[in-house]
Amino acid sequence: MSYPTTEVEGPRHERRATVRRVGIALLVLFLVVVMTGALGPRTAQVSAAGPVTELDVTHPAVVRSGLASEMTATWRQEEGVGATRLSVDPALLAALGIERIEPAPRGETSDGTRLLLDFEPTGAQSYTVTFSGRVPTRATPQKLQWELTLLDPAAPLTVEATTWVLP
Amino acid sequence: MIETVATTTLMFFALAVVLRLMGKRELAQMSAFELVILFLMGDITAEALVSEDTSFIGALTIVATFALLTVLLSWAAFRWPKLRPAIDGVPCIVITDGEPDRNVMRRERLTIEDLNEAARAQGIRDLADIELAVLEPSGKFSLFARTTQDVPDEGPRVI
Repeated sequence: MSYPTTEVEGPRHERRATVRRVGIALLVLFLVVVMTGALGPRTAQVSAAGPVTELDVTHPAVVRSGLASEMTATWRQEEGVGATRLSVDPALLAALGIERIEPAPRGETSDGTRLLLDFEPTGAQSYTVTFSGRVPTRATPQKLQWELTLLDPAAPLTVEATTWVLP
Repeated sequence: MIETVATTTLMFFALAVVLRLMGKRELAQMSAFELVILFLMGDITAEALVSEDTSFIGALTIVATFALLTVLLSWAAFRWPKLRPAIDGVPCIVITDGEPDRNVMRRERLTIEDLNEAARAQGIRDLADIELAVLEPSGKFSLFARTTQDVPDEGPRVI
């Protein structure tokens, strides 16, 4: 007598058990990868130095949809920071969902492809600008290569970095 | 992300304990109110776990953690029989030879109406016709009706 609705022992049953074991192993592997922080959120730092100015940028290296994002740019000058202009890639600000810039720039302009932010001279030896916001909830997964330039009159400083946007 | 996995693990065991404390009755014999409460608990749990991380990877992390813990618990129950009562629960006998066990009923918060309902669902008219009724860990009843020769002859009923 045959029972077509019952699950029969045999090679097919064994294959299913193997598939299940592989699935569980993949889930464990995924959690291990997640716990190492490889899937974000993660930050990185890039620096550049000129004859009189140093620039450090701490930026998100891996971000995910809906998470808070923050990037800081700090520049230092021995004789005190004068009026400064930062050139930022607007695609980066859009990908990170940047909504606030602290301290607020005294002027914002665009040269067509780049956002230019002007900051007041302070006379202090270092100046830090913080960009903060939240990555859009339906952010497009992408590898974003960008650069940020400090348009120093003596010598412009540029840092290049990569930010991965994950779903 | 370690926090997400840790919070999910904590929530998993907290839910397991809470559901065990609620008893078997809640699992299978839910009233509309109890159903709403369980849904609400699920919603609150999801809020706490997801928090601000609405990303796909965040959701997958929580699902994967829950799935692995479920597999781990069932494996632990299989591997160590002594853990089974704590993990899977134990069945309890609620009726023996037509006599409901009042102590078990009190402990499981079962009313005589619940037993009548379970009997009716199995096509049994009278609790006296039940040889054995077991409340399973899943909250369902397993009923064994008495065979004709088991039923004591009480003589003809006068109506």
